[in-house]
Amino acid sequence: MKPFEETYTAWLDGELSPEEARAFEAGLDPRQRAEAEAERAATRALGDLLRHHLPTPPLPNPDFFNHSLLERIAAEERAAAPAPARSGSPFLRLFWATLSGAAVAAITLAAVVVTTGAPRMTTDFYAVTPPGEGDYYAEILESEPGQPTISAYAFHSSSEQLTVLWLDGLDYLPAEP
Amino acid sequence: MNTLPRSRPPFGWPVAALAIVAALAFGAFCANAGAADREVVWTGLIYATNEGGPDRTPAVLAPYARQIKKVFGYNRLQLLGEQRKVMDRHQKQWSLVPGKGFVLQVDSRKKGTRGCHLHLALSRQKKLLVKTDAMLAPHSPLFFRGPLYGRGQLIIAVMVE
Repeated sequence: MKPFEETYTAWLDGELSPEEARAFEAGLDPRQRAEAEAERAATRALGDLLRHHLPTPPLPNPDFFNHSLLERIAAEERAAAPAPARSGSPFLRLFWATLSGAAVAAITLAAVVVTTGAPRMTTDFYAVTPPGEGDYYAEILESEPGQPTISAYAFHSSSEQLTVLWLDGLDYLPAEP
Repeated sequence: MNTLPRSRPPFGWPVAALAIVAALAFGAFCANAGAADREVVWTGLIYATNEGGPDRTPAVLAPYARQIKKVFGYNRLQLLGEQRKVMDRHQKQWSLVPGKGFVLQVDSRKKGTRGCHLHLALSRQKKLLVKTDAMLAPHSPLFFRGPLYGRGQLIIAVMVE
């Protein structure tokens, strides 16, 4: 048998079958019945009010929203991931790190010398070793809408390699014939 | 018969040859430095829709078409207008007009380690829509989600070539 509170809330929400509702109402004395009817009316009025005045706004850009949400979840998961445990003494780690760095530097220098003949002297480091040449890189540093009705959101999809300045609140333009 | 005296370089032929080689090297250096101070900026006005018919994705957008379609949620891309300009270091401001009354102003430029730092202002019919500072590597376009247009969406792209 359902506890009274459970039956009562189901009755308030109209979730009881007609037989169950009749049985529940028969178990109430007149004063309880009047109070319950009043509460049910108030609950229904509140529900109607919420349905009519607080409709769920349609999501204008579901793909953008999903992308942003997934990006944020992935970033938070990366940030929350525990750092890998380290072993060995700090001096040994420093030694290996120095040795690895020196080896990488030597290999890089050798590769530059072999491929270009000799390292070029230039003030623009980018011209010698482009960082990930051919990789997509577009970053929005700052943005400011020009009108109070316009919203601007910087959005970068790392999975799609695309950066978008997402403008909302622009007027619709009818297509020209 | 009088013969004219043969002209000789004042410091001898080896010095003259060295001077010519140095002059040529200097000229090549200057030409290279001048090229490094210029970038070509391309801007395009894209019309994205879900209408049927042949996909007329322009070649300039082909490398990014799949990503644009996925992020913006459309399956047809059409280029309504485009413009290219050479940005010269000595010029302070450039205006690019992709089409449909949109104007993209680029009013400062610095070259960083990862690309060009551009200050951009997008307006339409003298009404400023947005100002932004962006860092763009070559061939890495930045997209502005523009207004809804017809049965689709306008997208303004800007790229350093």
